[in-house]
Amino acid sequence: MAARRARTATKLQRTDAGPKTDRRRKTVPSPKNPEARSELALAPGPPALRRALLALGGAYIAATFLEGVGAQLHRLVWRPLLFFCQIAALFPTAATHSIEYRAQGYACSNRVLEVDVRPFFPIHADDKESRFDRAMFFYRTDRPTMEALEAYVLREYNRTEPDKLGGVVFLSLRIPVPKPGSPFPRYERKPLADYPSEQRKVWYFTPHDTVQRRCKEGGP
Amino acid sequence: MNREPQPIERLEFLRMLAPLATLGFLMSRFIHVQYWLTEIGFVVPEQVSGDYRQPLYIPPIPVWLAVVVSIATVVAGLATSIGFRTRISSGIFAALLAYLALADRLEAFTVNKLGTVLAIALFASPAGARYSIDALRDRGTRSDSAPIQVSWGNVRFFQTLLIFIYFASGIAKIRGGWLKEPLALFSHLHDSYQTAFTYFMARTVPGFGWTLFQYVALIYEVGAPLWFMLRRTRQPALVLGLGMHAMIGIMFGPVIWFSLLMSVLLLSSFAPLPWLSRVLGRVWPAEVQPQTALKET
Repeated sequence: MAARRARTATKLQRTDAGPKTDRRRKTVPSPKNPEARSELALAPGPPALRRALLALGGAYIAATFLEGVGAQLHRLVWRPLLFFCQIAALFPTAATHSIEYRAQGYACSNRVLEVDVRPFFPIHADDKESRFDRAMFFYRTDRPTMEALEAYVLREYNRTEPDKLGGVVFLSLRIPVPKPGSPFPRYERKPLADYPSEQRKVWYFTPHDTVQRRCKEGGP
Repeated sequence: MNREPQPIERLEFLRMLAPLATLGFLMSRFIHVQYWLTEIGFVVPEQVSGDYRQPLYIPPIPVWLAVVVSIATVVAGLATSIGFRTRISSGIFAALLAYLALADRLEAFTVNKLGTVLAIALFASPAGARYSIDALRDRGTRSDSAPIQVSWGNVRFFQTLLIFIYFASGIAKIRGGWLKEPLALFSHLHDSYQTAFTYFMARTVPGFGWTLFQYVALIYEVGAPLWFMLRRTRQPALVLGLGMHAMIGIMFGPVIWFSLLMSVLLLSSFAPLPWLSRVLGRVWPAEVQPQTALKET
């Protein structure tokens, strides 16, 4: 009976707002209640450090909030730190199209073929978390990165394929979002040839003379 | 803000599960780590200074080192989760997560960026003082009772962070046109994230159903400071939030780790204390008994 009463009392004391009875005084460390320290776990370091960390935490939350709502803080906060503040907002805008990124290759046998890049980017190869998709998403207008991506795709493809490539095309597919209630197929990765040209947008291609030169020299 | 000490269970619940959600996300990267951190895979070249996509250029590392980093991250994350030498393990875990997020923009997502911040916060807190291997080891040596509370900042940080993530997300959605576009949510159901369940829902739920879901999610996010501050709305908001994250996890394939991390943050921040105590008590029964006995005397 006494045990049950004690348990009930404990339950009442331990609310989210903290203890409400004498236990509060006992649990807050003070010189008068040195034994109280045993019930309150404190973060390491002196009080000044803990206060500084708290202020830092507050600043982090403020920066995360401001970044999330669209404020530009890169002039105030060092970019590597700001990077960790850019976490809020999933799907902030409506999508008009589903976007996929694809690659084609200019073969030295004068063929243009779709290159399945998934084996070269095995991390989440089948969804848009693939490194190829992410590289295209972030850097599709950045020529040095696109050239590095081209070099990588050519290296990987030409390593195993007998019909070598001299260049590539990187493009996106803009597939219209269906209307609710209309019949539409489940998502699947279809060959590039299944998509009409108006749904394709080329972001990067190897110049023709470069392809010619590479093929003459026996591959890139 | 209430500056009363807070129940230690909130901190320990987060310590136990947040590293697991973060590691779950990273595992699909670790198994192909040579395509991520080394020159075997595609490496984004160094950008001009100040490029928002590459806040810090970190060159690729040798394969053996990438493997060591992967194993060390998993070990440190698991050690943090079970509370084994928590101070050291959470510090190493935080440092490695920070490196992995900064090393390559292509593999930096909300999960590992937020996971890094949570790990740093755990490192700076007294996490591991209860419901942990450290606590079990201490029990044999210390004469006083195990701690039952932490100072307010150790819990309020996570609660406030979560509320402001939601709030910012809600405002961003309003700015992005969620109020004007009634099918904003529906428009995201058709790409490579689509699961069988998503397809089923997209085909069967009528347009106004998606608009309703969308506005419920928006009201939840924009109103988060209010819902979680008021005692009366806190529990319904918790259930709604968990439901929303469950739906995101089921409907957007790889986003499941983000959903799990947010759910852990949500539960540890706002779940009723008896829920957390029950879970922690089941995992660490030996940790509960002495405490109860102490109370009963």
